Amino acid sequence: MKETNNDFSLLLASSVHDMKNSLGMLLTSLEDLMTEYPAEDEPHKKHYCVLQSEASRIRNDLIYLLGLYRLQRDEMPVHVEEVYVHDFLQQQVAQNEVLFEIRDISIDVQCEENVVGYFDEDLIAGVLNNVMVNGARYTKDSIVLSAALEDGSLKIQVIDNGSGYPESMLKSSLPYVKGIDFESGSTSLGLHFAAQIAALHHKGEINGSIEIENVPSGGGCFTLVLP
Amino acid sequence: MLQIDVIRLYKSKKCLVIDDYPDIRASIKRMLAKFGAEHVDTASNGEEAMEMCLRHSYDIILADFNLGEKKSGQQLLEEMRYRGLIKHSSLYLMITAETTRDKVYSAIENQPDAYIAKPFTPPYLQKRLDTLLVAKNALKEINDAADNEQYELAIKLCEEKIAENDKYRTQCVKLMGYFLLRTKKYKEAIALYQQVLKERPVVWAMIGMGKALLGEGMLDQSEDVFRTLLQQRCPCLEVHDYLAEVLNRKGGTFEAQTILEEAAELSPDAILRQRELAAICETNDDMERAEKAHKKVVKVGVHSVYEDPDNYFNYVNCLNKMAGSSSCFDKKRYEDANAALKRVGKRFRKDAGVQVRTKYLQSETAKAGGKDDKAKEFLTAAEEALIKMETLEEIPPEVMLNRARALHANGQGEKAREVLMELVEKYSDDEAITLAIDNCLDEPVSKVGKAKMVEFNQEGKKLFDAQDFKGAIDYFNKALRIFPNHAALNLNLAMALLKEMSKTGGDAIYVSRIQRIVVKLEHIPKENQFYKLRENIKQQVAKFAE
Repeated sequence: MKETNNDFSLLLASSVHDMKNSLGMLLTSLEDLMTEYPAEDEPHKKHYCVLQSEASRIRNDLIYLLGLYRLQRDEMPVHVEEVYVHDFLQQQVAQNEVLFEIRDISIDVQCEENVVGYFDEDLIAGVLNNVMVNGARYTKDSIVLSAALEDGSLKIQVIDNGSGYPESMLKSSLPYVKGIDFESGSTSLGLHFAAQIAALHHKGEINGSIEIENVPSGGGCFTLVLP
Repeated sequence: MLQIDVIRLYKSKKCLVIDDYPDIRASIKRMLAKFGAEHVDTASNGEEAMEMCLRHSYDIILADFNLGEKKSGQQLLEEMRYRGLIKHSSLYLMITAETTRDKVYSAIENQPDAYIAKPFTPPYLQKRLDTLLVAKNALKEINDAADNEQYELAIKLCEEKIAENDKYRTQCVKLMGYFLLRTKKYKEAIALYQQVLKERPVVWAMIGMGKALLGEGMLDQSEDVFRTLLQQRCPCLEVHDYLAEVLNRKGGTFEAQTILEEAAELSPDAILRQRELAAICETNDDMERAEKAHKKVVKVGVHSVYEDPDNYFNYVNCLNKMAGSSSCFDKKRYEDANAALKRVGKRFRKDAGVQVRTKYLQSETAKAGGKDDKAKEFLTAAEEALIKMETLEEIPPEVMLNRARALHANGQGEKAREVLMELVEKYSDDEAITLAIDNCLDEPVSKVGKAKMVEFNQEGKKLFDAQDFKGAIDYFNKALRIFPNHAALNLNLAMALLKEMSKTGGDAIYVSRIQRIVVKLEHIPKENQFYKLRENIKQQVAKFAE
C-alpha cells in the first residue's frame, strides 16, 4: 500500500512538473502576443490582464505544490549564497515588468546599494515572485519593495495600496502549517510555501519567518525576515 | 547607468549564444541585439562553441546547461577554462531549465559568473547582464592580471580593493583566496578563509579552507572540513574528489574508492574523476571496477580536451593484468585490448612514441591472450620501430618502460632488467620516473625505491608490534600504491586486515581485499618463502567469508 502511495505521489509530482512547464510556455507566448499586438482599448487590456494573471497564478501554485512535495521528502537542498539585495530586488521587478505595466502599477525599490543578504537566491526569488503577483492583483496602483538590515537580519517588505489582507487571513496563526483556508482562495498555498522556505534559513537558533499585516493607509504588507 | 552608456557597453561586446534549440538561440540573439549588442554569434553544441572560441575571444557567453547528448554547458565551461579560451574578464552565464537544482557547485574556476533560470524576460536578462558587466568592470585590473598569469599582482590588487570595503569586497576575497591557492601560498590562504568563516560558514570558504589545509599537508583537519561539507549535502562534487585525495594520502584507499564511486555515479562524464577512480581501484586491486572506469575515460576522452594516449594504454594495461590472474582466457577482454590499441594507433598516427608503445603493448596483449607467436612478431616489429625512432629523436622514458615490460612478458627477463637499470641510471634524479620503474617490478631497483622499501618494512613492523592494525592497514595501502606487486607488502596488508577483523569482527570490504591479494599472488611457487604464508591467509580469510 505504501508503495502505491509513493508511486502515485511521484506520478503527481511529474504531472505537476509537466503542467508547470506547459504554463510557462503559454505565458511566454502570451507575452509575445502582448508585445506584437498591444492592447487597443480598456476591455482588450482587461482580457490580457486576466489571461496573464490567471495563468501566472496557476503556474505559481504548481511551483509551490512541487516545492512542498520536495520539502516533505526532504529533497529541497538550500544553497545559501551571498546576494546583493538591491540588484536582486531590481531583477525580480524586471522579471515581472510586463505584469506591472499592463496594469499601470508603479514599482518602487527602496534598498541601499551595499545591503547584503545570505539566502537561497532561487527559493527567495520564488517567494517574492508570488507576493508580487498577488500584490499586482490586489493593489490599486503602487507597490513598494523595501529591504534593510535590522538586528543582523535582513528584512524585506512588499507593500501595496489596495484594500489590504482579509481578516480571515490575518487571524490564521503562523507558521502556516495547519490547513488551508479555502474561502480566501489559493493565495494561502503560496504563503504556506513562503513560510516553510523562510524557516529553512537559519543562523544559529534564529529561523527565517514571514508576517502579513495591513498598513494604516489600508494596503497590505508582506514581511520576510531572513537571518 | 544612463541608457546611452548601457548601449555603448553592449555595442563593443562580442557575444556567443549556445543552445541546442534554434528558436531559443534566435530569441536570445534578438534580446541581445535589443540591448545594443552588435556582434552576436550562435552555436548549437559544445564542439561548435569550442571552435568558435578558438577563432574569436568572446566577452559574453550565454550557454544552456543542457546541450544535448554530448558536452553539457558545465563541461564546456570547464574545458574552455582549462584551455584558456575564456578570459577572467569575460562573462559566462549558464541558463538552467528549472529554478531549482541544475546548479552544480564546482571549483571557483569552473563556476559560471551567474545562473539564469528559464523562463526569463528580456528586462530580467538585461538587468542581470548590466549588474554583471558593471561588476566585471569594477574588477577589471584584477581580472586582467589574472589573464596574464600575474598572480602576485592580482593578489596585491585584491588586497587594495578589499581595503576599499565596497560592494565587491566579498568577490575580491573569493578571488584572492583562489589566487593564493593557485600560487601555493597555503598559510595565507588558511588565514584568509579563517577570517571569512568566523562570520559565516559559507560553502566557498569551507571548500577553500579544505584545499588550503590539504596543500599545507594538514590532512586530518582537511578531512574534517570535507566530511562536514559532505554531511551538509553540499552540491559540490569537487568535495568528493578532495576528500578522496585526503583519504588516499592517509592510506584510507578503500573509503576513497567508495567516495569517488559515489561522485562518478552522479557525474559519469567527468573524465578526470574517472581517471582518479581507475587509479584508486588499481591500488585496491579492484581490477573489475578499474576496468569500468578506464572504459569511461577512453569513451568520454574522445570528445574532450583530456584525450591522451595514456588513457588507452592504462586501459590496456588493466585488461592485461586481469588476463594474468584469471585461470581461463577472456576473449572479450582480449578483443577490447586490441581494439583500444588499434584506436590509439590511428588517433595518434603522427606520434612516433605512441606508435612504438602501441606495438610493445600489442606484444604484451598477445602474450596475455596466449598467442605466443604473435607476441614475438609484435615484439620484433616494435624493436625495429624503436631503432628507427632512435635515429630521429630522443626516446621518452615511457617508451622504454613499455619495452622492458614487453621483453619481460616474452621471457627476456635479463634484457628487461638491463633496460630498466639504464633508465634508473639516466633518470636517477626524477623520483616520479624511478618509482614508475620500481612499480613494474616485484622488487625495487632504484636507490629511492630501495630506501622506501626499508622504511615501509621498519614502520610496518612498528605498527604491528604496537597492535595498531588499523594504522598498519592504512600504512600498507600507501606502500602498495608505490609497489603494488611486492609480495611481502601485499601479504602484510592481508595479515593486518585479518588481525583487525579478529579484533572487531568480519568486514566485507576487508574480506574481498584479502581474497584479491590471495589471487594476485597465485604465481608464487611452493619453494618460495611466502608460499606457506599465502596458504595460511587463504584459509583464515575463508573463515570470515562465511
